Amino acid sequence: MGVIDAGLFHEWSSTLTLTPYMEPAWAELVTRKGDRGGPLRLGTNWLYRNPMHGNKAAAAYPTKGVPGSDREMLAKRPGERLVLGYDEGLLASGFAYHYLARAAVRAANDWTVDQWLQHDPRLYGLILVSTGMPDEAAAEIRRVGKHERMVGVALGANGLGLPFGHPVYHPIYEAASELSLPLVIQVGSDAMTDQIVPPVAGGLPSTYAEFKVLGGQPSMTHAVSFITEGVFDRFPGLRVLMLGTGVAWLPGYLWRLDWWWKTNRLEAPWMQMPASDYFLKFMRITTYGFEWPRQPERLIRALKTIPNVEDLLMYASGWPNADFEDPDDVASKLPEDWRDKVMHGNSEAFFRWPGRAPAGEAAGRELATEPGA
Amino acid sequence: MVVKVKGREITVIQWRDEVHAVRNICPHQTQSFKGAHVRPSFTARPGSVGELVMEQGEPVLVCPVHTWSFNLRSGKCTVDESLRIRRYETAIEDGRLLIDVSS
Amino acid sequence: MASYSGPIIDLDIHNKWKLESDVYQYLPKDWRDYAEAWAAGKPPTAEGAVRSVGIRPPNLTVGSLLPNAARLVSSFPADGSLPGSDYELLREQILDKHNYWRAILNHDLGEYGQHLNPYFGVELCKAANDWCIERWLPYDKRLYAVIVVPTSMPVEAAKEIRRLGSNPRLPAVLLAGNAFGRPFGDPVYHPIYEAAAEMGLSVICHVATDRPGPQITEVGGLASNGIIYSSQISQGAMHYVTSYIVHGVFEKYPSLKVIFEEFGTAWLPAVMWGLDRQYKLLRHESPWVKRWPSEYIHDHIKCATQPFEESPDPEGMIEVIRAAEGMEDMLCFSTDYPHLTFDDPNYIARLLPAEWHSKIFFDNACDFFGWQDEARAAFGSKPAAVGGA
Repeated sequence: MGVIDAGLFHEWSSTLTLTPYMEPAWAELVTRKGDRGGPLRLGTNWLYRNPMHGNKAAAAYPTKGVPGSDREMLAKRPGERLVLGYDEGLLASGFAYHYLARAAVRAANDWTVDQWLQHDPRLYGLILVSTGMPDEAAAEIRRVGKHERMVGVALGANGLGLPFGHPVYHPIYEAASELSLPLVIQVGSDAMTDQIVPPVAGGLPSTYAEFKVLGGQPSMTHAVSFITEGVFDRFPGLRVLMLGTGVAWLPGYLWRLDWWWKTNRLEAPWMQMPASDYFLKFMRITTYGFEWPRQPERLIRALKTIPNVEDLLMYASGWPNADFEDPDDVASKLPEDWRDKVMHGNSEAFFRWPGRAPAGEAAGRELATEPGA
Repeated sequence: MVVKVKGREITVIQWRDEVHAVRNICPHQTQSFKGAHVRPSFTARPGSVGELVMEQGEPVLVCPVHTWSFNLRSGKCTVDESLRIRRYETAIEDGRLLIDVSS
Repeated sequence: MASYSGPIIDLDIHNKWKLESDVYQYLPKDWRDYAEAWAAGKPPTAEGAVRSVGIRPPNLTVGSLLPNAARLVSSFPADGSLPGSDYELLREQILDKHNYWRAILNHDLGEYGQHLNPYFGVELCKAANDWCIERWLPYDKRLYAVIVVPTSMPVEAAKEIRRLGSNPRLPAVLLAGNAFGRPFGDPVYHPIYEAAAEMGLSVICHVATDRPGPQITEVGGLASNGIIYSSQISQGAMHYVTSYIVHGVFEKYPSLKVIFEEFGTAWLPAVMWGLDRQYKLLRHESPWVKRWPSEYIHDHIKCATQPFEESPDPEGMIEVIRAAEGMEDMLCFSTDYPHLTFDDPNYIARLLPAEWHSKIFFDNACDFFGWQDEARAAFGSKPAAVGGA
């Protein structure tokens, strides 16, 4: 069975790559710096950058352009299906000037269809949205979601500085759910300079190494927010992939979550089952980001304390980031009976692949895989 | 109120005009129910998120330690149905409370 | 799983004042006037308590959605005073009920230094320490206490540590509340560790009100319910652990030991493995990191067991601990009495393998405080008597 890579990153090298896809007025705004100084870089900044090599793999630099911008190079990545997300490109969704962020993500989505999906049948895309204006994000999902090779939604930056389950974001989930599109949340969603929401608890870490270890924390909060603020009760067809967040914290986290759900259950009486059951049913986690110990089997041992944990995990390379992992590297560290699911089956069930998307909630139920089913 | 009947500690609870009696051990960490609070069960309107609604006819006993709640009619823990508390039938006769601890 | 009848050291009990004036009487006169001015001219409450600016600074609301003021109902004294203020109840419900050798009084929660007026905070810490020494320690020789310090004024905190640190009944410094929005390993806090190391004291980092508040703990945005708020508590501790490594705290203060309390424990392997995985990068950014991070963590860091992550099958949590090599040496039992998240000692004993009992209930704490000699004097060379299953 072929490998599905649930997360590798395609990037535009220059703003001028996207300006052809923008309305003329926006194109003019971002280029008007003139011949000197170059066009405006379409995105805010990461709080943290890898000081050793900018966080991109040395071998991933093309002769021209940035890592992830060269289609031929990306096409060499192994896998039967490659789901194109963004790493640097997420920054466009985080621009504090919301209207510009909207223009940028629109252009990015059109560019993805035109320059990537049309050219290689193995490539699939995620609709990038700017969450700073949830109604606009919903409109973008409805606009682009008709394209059958767009298989999910990249939520991108936390545009309003609130946990993603907050009701203000619900229009986005309504649109995604209507079109049977799952969501992807990613490390870095809360780690941009155009934000005042903390990306790590207890203050800002001083080092990139710490950010690598702790950067999944906002996604942990977003997961509980989805679960307790009724997102999955309102939109039972929705699924959410956590990309790059790591997984070693998961067992204790689920148990702690249930403890508090039991104590504080009356804060969320619309929940139909224990909080951890929602996590197992609705959330997924990529292998990219795993905190592999020096003896990798220790992580597997800890994960096995969750029944059917292999149903939660989806292989993603994270290419062209410096810590990307080839399929064989990951598969060799997994128990043999996990491999088919993690390398293929769970991603097969998760994304809205072409030809399997009748509209509405029926589609959601079709996508739904009960853990262990 | 906690009473001792035939060597067993039993928590007696009054809820409106009903009297309930349960074994005085919480199945979570085996703590006493002494001082426990009783309230209606919280529920939700189907399909509705964001409103808190109480089910006035369904009393739950809230453990005074970690606040797990137990449906007083069935004895089942509302957050973990595999846990139950032992219930005893009660009756009021000539102003006295009778608790059936047989079986 | 077996029960445990050997001696217990409880790393976390929260003692409290009956009246705020009990603490204020230890303030210098001007600060006492400041504290009580609010009440001037007004009748005291029905209980006779003096209303004041408040010993505890104000806190987030979502954490307060817990019932019974987040306290065990049984710990509310009959005279209407506050949970944790009654020694007799503490003795009856915990100290005498179980085989207690020693217990650490951590105040409730000791974050007096988090007042936005830092000068008041400094004075309150001193007053609270004096109150605890004079009013609590004499009750029972099993009681030991922390030195409460204002994290907002590290140099003042160091002075307080040096003032009281030679008292053998005060074996640790309490870090309650992150005042700067910097993780606890940050150099801004190092005067505290310098003083603690000098005085031979350990450091207890306990969950508490941070300052200014949610901006420090609430990643991804403000938590809008208590489930989100409480389930994310471990996140701060994860960062504090990494910060001790990247800022070289254990290289600078090789004798220092730190314990994290009320943050849980199951997150610790994720941090150890995550940091080890970034070893090269870590050393590139922090050249004073000389050993594997997990080794520093094993040697210098412990976690209190409460609130124990209760896996549906008790084996689950034990497996997680076993997966991380040597983690059973890093856990110290605590109850968190009289808080609602209380862990009963017998319950925890049944969840743990018998071969870990004496470590987790006793030996690891002796290692943390340097009480090995005293333990030997009290019990001979093998103190723990494990009861039958």
